[in-house]
Amino acid sequence: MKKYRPFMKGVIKVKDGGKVALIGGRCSRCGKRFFPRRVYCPACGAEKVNEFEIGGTGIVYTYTVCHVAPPDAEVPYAIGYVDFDGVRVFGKFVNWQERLDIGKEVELIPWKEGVTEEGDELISYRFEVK
Amino acid sequence: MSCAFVAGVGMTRFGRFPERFIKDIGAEAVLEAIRDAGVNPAEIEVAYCGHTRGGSTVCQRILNEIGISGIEMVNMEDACASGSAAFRYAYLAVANGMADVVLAIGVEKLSDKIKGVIPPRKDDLEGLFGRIMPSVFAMIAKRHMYQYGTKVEHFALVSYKNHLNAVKNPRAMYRKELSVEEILNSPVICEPITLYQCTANADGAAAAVVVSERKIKQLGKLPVRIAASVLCAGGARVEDWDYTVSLSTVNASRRAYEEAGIGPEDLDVIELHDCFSVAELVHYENLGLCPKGEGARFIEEKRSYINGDVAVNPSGGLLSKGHPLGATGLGQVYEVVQQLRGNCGERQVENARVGLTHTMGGGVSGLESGACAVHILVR
Ligand SMILES: [Zn+2]
Repeated sequence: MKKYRPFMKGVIKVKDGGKVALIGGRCSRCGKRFFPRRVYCPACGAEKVNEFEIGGTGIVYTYTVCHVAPPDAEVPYAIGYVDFDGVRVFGKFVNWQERLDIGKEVELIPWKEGVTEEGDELISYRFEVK
Repeated sequence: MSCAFVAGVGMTRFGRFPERFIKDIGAEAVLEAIRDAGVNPAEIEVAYCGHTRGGSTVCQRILNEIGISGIEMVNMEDACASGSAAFRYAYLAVANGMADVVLAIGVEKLSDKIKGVIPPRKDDLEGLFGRIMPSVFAMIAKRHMYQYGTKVEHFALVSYKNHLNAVKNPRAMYRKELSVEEILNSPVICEPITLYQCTANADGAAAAVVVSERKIKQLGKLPVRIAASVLCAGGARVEDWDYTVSLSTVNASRRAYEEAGIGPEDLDVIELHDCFSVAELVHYENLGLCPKGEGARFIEEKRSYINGDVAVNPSGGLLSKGHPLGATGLGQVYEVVQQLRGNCGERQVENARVGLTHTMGGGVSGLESGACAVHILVR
């Protein structure tokens, strides 16, 4: 049976039906939220940071289209920050040509980043422009 | 804390020197700084060396080349702020009474290591998604345009000014005037940033001899005092941070102004971290030279030109002088010290008395920056 693995530890959850959610942190003392989650709250230093899920629909905060890249990436590609209910997340866009702009809605979708030696799928995320 | 002074500075030309060893590039700058200070090499008690890709014990290799050995030597890495970190620790060693004569070196040789854009780290979330350095500033540009109506021409103007300044700097990498049209029509790197709005990776070195009050009097040099020294890492981005603000620059500069007992209006000359044109424009705001959102107006009104309110990057900045990562911070110190001494010829800022250097280093997922250093020098 094919297994799914997060592409990076502590960043993403693969849910039933192949959906994904990102793992954010919410401070139990000051209430501030951030992504990715940290051990201590970066805003106030509190030790108790609760996990919360980030996903669904977000709004593009800023972006760029890159026409140069390190040798292993294809150009052009679009990257940027998206606000999900007040938490800003960085990622790569899909379906962005002639549609991407600040203020546009995007959907957080699962993305196959690669396959491990054991044949498991490495699951990452993308922002799909609506 | 006691006072610390810059007694001597040295700098190679910035450019591409594939045939030279890093130790030779470093030694050239160190020799100039030692001779400029008029100190005997045997008087140097401690040496700090900033670099990012020089490998192990670069400081030792450079100094052994010219016959200095056996003293305390520390190699430091803080990305593009490595040289500024070395300068700060030289300052601290003198200000804390640990030594009278300390050497700070910044050095880099990139021409045999990196072609084009610096690859982001694969173990960093944002790096993995292709967040190369020009994209960071392109995203700032997009947001600044959205929030304040800034135009691409404003970013290009910054690059125009710095290229114009570099024409008068024999140690700059690119010494050719470019028109705003040429800048905007050069290939797009990350929208809306074009090639001629990006710094160029370079090889080069710069060095400074930092001394105590007792020593500067003995040397009989014009005292250039280090009036403030601040180094900090960028803070974590939590909830609705503003991408057009470099909070580490805001905080470090405010602390530096307080330490020096001055305000931004007292500055005559600034060498700031213009790795991309948009960076300089937003740093006018971050450093408090103009109100938030008015960076475009600041460059449009030529207030950052050599004969404007405050000369910003009279050397040509990273954009035209070149950017040998670890050497950049000390290259900025070199320019400011020479400006305060009145040694800059055609690009001299009239009666420059107070100068500031600002260096940024690196990018880390979730942090506003890797490192930010601000120094204020006064004669
Ligand atoms: Zn907190």
